[in-house]
Formats: sequence, structure tokens, C-alpha cells
Amino acid sequence: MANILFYIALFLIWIMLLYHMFLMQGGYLHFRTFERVIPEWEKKMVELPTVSVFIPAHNEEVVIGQTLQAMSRLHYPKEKLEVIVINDNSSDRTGEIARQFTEKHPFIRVIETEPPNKGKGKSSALNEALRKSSSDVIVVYDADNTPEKMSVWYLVMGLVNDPKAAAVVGKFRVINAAKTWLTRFINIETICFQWMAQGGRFKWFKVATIPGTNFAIRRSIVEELGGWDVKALAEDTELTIRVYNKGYHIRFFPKAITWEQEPETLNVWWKQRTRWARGNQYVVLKFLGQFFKLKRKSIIFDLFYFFFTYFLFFFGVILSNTLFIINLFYDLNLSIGNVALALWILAFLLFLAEVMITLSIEKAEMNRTNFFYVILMYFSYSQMWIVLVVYSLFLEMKRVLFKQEVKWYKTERFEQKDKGEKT
Amino acid sequence: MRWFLMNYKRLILGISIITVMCIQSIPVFATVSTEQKKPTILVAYQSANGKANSDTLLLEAIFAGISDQVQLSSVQQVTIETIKNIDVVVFVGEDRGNLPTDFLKAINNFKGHLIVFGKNAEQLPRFEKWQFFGTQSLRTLDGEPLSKLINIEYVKPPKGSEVLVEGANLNTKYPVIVKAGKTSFIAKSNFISDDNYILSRELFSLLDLQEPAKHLAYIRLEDISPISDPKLVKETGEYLAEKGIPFYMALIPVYVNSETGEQVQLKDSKKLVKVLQHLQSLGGMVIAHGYTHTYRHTETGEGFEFWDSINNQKISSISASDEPIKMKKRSDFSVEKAYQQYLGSIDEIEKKYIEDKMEHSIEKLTELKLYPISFEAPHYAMSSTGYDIIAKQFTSMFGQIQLSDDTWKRMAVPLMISKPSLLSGMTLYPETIGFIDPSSPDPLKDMEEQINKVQQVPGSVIGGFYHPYLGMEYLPEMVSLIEGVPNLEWLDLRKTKQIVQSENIMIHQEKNGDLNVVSHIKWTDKVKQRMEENPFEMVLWTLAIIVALFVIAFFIYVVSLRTKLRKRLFEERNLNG
Repeated sequence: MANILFYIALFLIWIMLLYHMFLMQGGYLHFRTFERVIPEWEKKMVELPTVSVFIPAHNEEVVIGQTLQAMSRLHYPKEKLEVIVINDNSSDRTGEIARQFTEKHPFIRVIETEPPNKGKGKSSALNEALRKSSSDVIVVYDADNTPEKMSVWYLVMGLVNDPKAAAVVGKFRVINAAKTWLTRFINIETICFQWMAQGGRFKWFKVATIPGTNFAIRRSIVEELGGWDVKALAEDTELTIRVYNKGYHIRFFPKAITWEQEPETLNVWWKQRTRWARGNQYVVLKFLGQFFKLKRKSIIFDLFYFFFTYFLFFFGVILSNTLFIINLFYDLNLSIGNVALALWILAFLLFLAEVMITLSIEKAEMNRTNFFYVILMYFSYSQMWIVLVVYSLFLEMKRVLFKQEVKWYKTERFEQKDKGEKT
Repeated sequence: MRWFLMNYKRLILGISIITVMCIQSIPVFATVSTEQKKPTILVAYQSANGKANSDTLLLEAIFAGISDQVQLSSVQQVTIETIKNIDVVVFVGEDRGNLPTDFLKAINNFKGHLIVFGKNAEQLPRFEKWQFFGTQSLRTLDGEPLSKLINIEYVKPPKGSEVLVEGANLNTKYPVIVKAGKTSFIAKSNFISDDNYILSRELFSLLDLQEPAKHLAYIRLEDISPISDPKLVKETGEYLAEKGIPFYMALIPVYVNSETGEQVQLKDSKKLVKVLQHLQSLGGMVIAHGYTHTYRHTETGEGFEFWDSINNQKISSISASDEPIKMKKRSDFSVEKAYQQYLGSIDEIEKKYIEDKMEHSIEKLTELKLYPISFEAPHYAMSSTGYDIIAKQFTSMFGQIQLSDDTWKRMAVPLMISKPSLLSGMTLYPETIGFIDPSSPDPLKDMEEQINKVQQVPGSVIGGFYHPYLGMEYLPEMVSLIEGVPNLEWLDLRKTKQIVQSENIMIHQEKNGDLNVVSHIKWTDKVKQRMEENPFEMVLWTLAIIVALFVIAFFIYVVSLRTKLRKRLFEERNLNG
């Protein structure tokens, strides 16, 4: 019995690890090739579409100034660009600060959310802006983002040159990486996520996920889809799936770069990640029911991946940990021999290698400090995820059972001393 | 000076070689001078079908205990020429019938010992003065009552003959073993039961040989399989080692659960392997006791392995999933040739099955550094074809011998170490005193009686086995019972020459105690074998290899990325001035 359970755990874990290994290979290939098309693509950047940049903001006085500062420097013909700050039920100076920018920069404007969209969260705010704008392309940034000058340009370049793409997503980097141990981990994690999950999946399956910020999407498609799903906690994942189901794809184009803040304290991190995990669990459960109705096979695969990540993989890890602990006190007579140890070591080396590749892709990230953080990460940060997923699964189950309403938790922002644009 | 030094070295070398040679040859001379010259013996049988039956095979084996120069042949093959160098002719008359003239001529011409068993003795010239009255039955033999009547040839030997053993029916006495000078007559040829002891006891006087004084003895720790309790094995083994007894461990490398078909490999019982290696280092010798001790789905240790006990026939299927074929009889065939062809095809299956299993057994044990130097068939059951195959892999075996290819129940044992022709050249270390059977009301008493019986036979081997799962409960008593036999010497195979070989392994036990092992197992074979045993583990190893290759590739990417990055930074610095 213990043997069978152990093999099941091993199987679940390694399916996941092998898939990530495969994605890493794709991500690396994507890095080696994605820039090659740019010279050719530049030629088509003549008749540019109109662009609206949506910045949903709810009590963002700490960061909105620096965000708009970065927006004002965007490289895009100003007559074809508008930046819309969606002031959603803020009780602080967010609107005031934003309006100061509208005076200097006519292409920036502030709108206030109105009932029924008022104070309902990000999806509602975005829908409000959708209603109040008319550009060809919509770009979304979170209120804490400082995009690089060329980011909107590259996002649009992707859409112009790839007619099958409903959306183009760029890369985000962590602005406060060196702040705390937590932001260091998050920095490493996000770099990994983007090159493995985004880059890898795009290379192999033409699949990328809308990350909630730094992406451009065609208005026609958003309207066709009926806007953002207000019930979704992870509105981006949800939107992604619907986009694919319509027969389009999403391009990952890491040339478009934005810098964003990450939680500096564990408390904020915990709340933010719980929302993500629950959001993704919601999406999996929502679409799992209609699994076979989904048109695009690639996205079925992706959903399955989510299902694996949030349910099976963690089940495997928890099972294997439980067996390990029981085995410490009581001999379960596990028949597996040295191969288990070999696989354990390989899992660690694989993790190390994958993280090091992605860090090496980013200039200056593969340094000694980060190397030690990577090793530490495997035993600490990665394990924190397990607890988090279990916790959010518990919350999500409670929600379904007691029919609770979803509440959007806004990530707390931190003031950054260095407000200058980072490159 | 230099020249002197070189020669000095040579001189020393020369002296030492000579010394070594002298030391070595002394015991050789000694043994030759004390031992009698072994007689050459011909066992000639006469039977209706021209083949030796099990009675003859046992007689041949018993004589093989006296001399290593024993031949077995049909009377049809015996001529003056073939018995020219023979010291003793043993004639076994299995069925009534006329003896060939060439044989009669040869015997007429023969001057040595003639020992005749059973029928047709009256046709031999040496028996002119003996009177034969046909078959009679006996109720007692050698003073002991018989459990059932046995038939003998009723003979009146000439005057001056010596009746060594006689039997009786009511008040009439009948000679059973009679010696008249160099001519002897034994009134029956079947010695598969306890009669064996009587015959073996009298052999020396029949052949005018000096009775050997000493008895060899051994104890085998039996049926040690992967599920044996390492603690008990250790306890029993260490006890014997401490007493200075060279002991034997009959190992079964794989345990098969009869209900689930699940296999447990010895290598997976790491504690037990350690114990066995430790015991081996203390002088315990390994006997390959089959591979799984099962045929098809019977339980390890309980089932037969090289005999189909359910159909009581030879092995007729290789894999456990194949149904054994019920053996056809001669009457199912119209011509003899077709029947023989059929038997041949069954033999091929049997040979392959036994050969493969013992190859595996030898290799599995050797892999664990447990070096088998002898063989023992599970339940001692095996056909003559099996002995042929085993003889290619082993030079000796322990236990008893199955005398028939038609039933495993014709099992007997010569009481001395012998090389019976049935075993195709293997030496048999006979098991003569059985084992401690805890289901008996007094197992030690049983064994004591058996030992008493066996030790009546001069030169007999006191060989028995003990199941380590019994722990220490009976072992010390069993040892003291054996040690109670006068002139006892423990059999030590490390002082004998033994060869065990499989396709890839060669184990040489030398007389001086050296054990040389040469293994040519290729890693591909090992992988293949492990694949068969544990396919899932092999899948995991394959996975591990693939992952390892990717990890290597990934680290190469890291290095290449870093060198590129350095170049990139360098170029940017140049660009920025």
C-alpha cells in the first residue's frame, strides 16, 4: 500500500518536473530567437493603431505618481496614445495626483468608476474604461508599474505583425528586488516564471498567459468576449482561456518590459498569493466542467497544467512528504532503492539549473547573492507555496460550500525611494 | 657485486620453490600410503528393456561410495575385452532372461570379485554348485521384522559359504547376503528402503576391503530465502561457527509469494545479505538451493522447483503462465520413434528451464558476494535430464537422488560420498539423517535413532539439515547428537576442489581453501535482468538518466549565456566609450 502511494506521489511530482524541464528548453530557445524578427517587424510600424493604456487604481497614492511619470515618457505617437487612470473608489489622493499629470500631458486622463462598476475590483474597473474609450488597442498596466520607454511600442508591434494574436504580453521585472529577502525570492521566481512558463509555453504551444499587467489586447476581441469576468479573482487567467477558446493566441514578446513592485512583507505576499491561487483554482474548476467543449486543444492542455499545479502536484508533494515523515518513525518497507535518492538529487539540480538559466538570461541577475538565494529558495520559499496552495484550496472550498461572495484584495503598495526608471 | 646479487636472488628463489614443493608433496605421499588402492568396479545389469532401472541405479551409486572407479553398463556391452582391467564385477539381474554368451564368456574368464544381485545367477558358471529355488518371501530381515513382505531369490549356497545376512519367513531361514570367496550372492536387487544400511555395512567384507574408521558429518542451514529472519539465521550460523563446525547454507535467491505471485529478491533483504556475508566469512559455505524453490505458483520453500509435483512428472513448461503439458505415454504413440521425439521435445523445455533458473541463481548469489560452491535440488526432486544439466554447472550436490524419471517418490541415498553415474559426474554429499521436524512429538529422539542406524555403516556420512526459523531451540542438541558419533570429522568443502559455473561466472573452490571467482556479467545483462525483475525501477532510472542529461545541457546553457553576456557587456562598454 505504502509502495503504491509512494509511486503515485513520485509519478505526479515527476510529470510536473518533466513538463517544466521541457518548458525550460522552450524558454531558452525562445530567448535565443525572439529578437530575430524585430528588424523585419519594424518595417510594418507605419500605420499605427490607436492605443489606450488602462491603469486601474484604487488608493494608489503611494505609487501612481511614479507610474504616470513613466507613462509620460512612453515612446509612441502621442496623437495615437491615451493613458487612462481608472480611479476606482479611492479614498486617498490618487485622483488628485493623477489629475496633476493630465495638465502637463494631454494624452493622460482620469476617469472615475460609476455604479455598478464602482468599488467592485479590477475587472469592473477595466470594463468601465472599456466603455469610456474607443481605441483599437488596449494596454493594461497595474498602478505600480513603471514601463520602459519602448514597452508599448513593442506590444503594439507584436499585434501589428501577428494578426492571429489577440494579445501580446511583455515581460515584467521586479523593481524592489534588493529590498528584502522576500522580494529577492519573488524576483527570482518571476524571472523563472516568465522564461519557463511564458517563454516555454509560447515556444512550444503558442500559449502565454495574460499576467494582469504589461499586455496589449485588441479592443474588437475584448468586446467580442464581453469584457472582463467580474466574478474572477484572477481575471487575467480567465481572460486568457476565453481568448484561446475564440481561436486566437497570445504572444509572449519579452522585448516589452515593465518594472513592478512586489510585496515586501510576508503578510502582503500571503494575501496577494492567496488571491492568485484561489483565482486560478476558480478558473480550473470553472473550465474543467466544460473541458471537452473547449475548442483549442492547446488551452485544454494548459488548463490541465493548472489542474496539475494546484491539485495533483500538491497532492503528490504532500503525499510524499507524509510518507517520508511516517517512514522516519515507522518502517513502511518501501521497496524503492537508490533511484529515489538519485531522483531527489536530480530534482534539486534541475531546479538549480533551470533557475540559473533564467537568471543568466537577465543581465546581472546571475550573481553570487542570488546563487545562494536560489539554493535557499528550494528549501524555504518553494515550500511556502505548498502551505499557501493548501490554504487557498481550503478557502475556495469554503466559498463554494457556503456560497460566499468573492472579495478582491488589492495588493498593498510600498513607497520606493528610487523612483527613477530602471533599465 | 651486481652479478653476485642477481644470482643470490635466483638462488634464494630456487631454494624457496624447492621447499614449497617438498611441503606440498609430503601430505600427498602420506595419503597415498595409508589409503588402500580403490578397486575398479563394473556394474552390469540385465533388464528386459535394456535400460538400468532404479534398483540398479541405486546399487551403482552405493558401489560408487566405495570406489570412484565405477562403470555402469548393460550386460550386452560386456566382453572379455571390456572387463580386462576390472577388479570387481557387480551383476544385477533385474528380469528373468537369457544372458548373452559374450557376457558369460567374459565372466567365465574373469578372476576378480563377482557380486550378483537378484535373478539369473544360475546361468553364471561360478554358480554351478549353488541351488536356486525361485522366489520366496521374507517377513524378517537381519533379525528385524519387515513392515511388508519382500521377495527374494531362494538359494542354497555350496558348503563353506559364509551367510552374512539372512532373512526368515516364520521358522524358515533364507540366506540374503552370501559370500563364497570372491563370489557373492545377494538374493534381491531392491535396496531403496532401509535394506540399504544392511548392504552398505556388508560391502567391505564382500570385497575384502578394510572398513573405513571415520565418519564425515555436515549440517546444512536449510531453505534460507529472502523472507528468512536475519536474526535467527545469524544466531544459528554463529553458533555453528563458534563451535568450529564448517557449516552449509542452502540459499534460495528469490522468494515467490504463491498467492500474489510477487517476488522478493534476496538483494532487497539487505540485513539478511549482510548476515549471510558475515556467516560466509566465518566459514559458512553457500549451496545454491534452486532459484525460487517453486515451479509455477507454489510457495517458496514449500514447492518443488525442478519437478512438477502436481502431475508428478518432469518440468514441461517454462514460464509460470504456461500450463504444464500432461505427459503422454508410450501407448499414445504408434511408433517408438515418434514417442522418443516427443520425449526429446519435453527434455528441451526441461533443460532450458533448469539451466536458466540455475544460471540466475548462481549469478544472483555471486552478485551479492555469496559464492555458491555446491547445489541442492529443492525437495531433492529432479529427473536424470536435470542432473545432466546441473552437472554442467556444478561439480557436486547435496541431498538425495531421484532414481526415476517417472516419479519423484523413488528417492534414495547412498550412505557414502560418491559420484553416481546418474549424476553425470557430480559428487553427492548424502543427506542421511534428515532434519529436525518440530511437528514430531520428539524430533531429537527421531534424529538420534536415525544417527544410530547410519553410524552402523562404516564410513557413512552423517548429513542432516536444520531450519534456521527454529532458532536455537534444537540446534545445540542436534550438534551434540552428531558429535556423539565416534571418529567423527566435519566435512569441509573448502578443502575440496569444487567448480561452479554459469555462462558468465566461474567459481573455483581450491583444496587449499582458496576461492577464486571470475565474473563476466556484462552491465547490459544486469540492466536487462533488472528490467525483467523490476520494470518500474528501470523506468525510474531511465527517467533519471534523461533528467541528468537535461541538467547537463542546462548547465551548458548557463555557461554559454554567461560568456555571451560578458561579451555583450564588453561591447556595450566599448560602445559607451
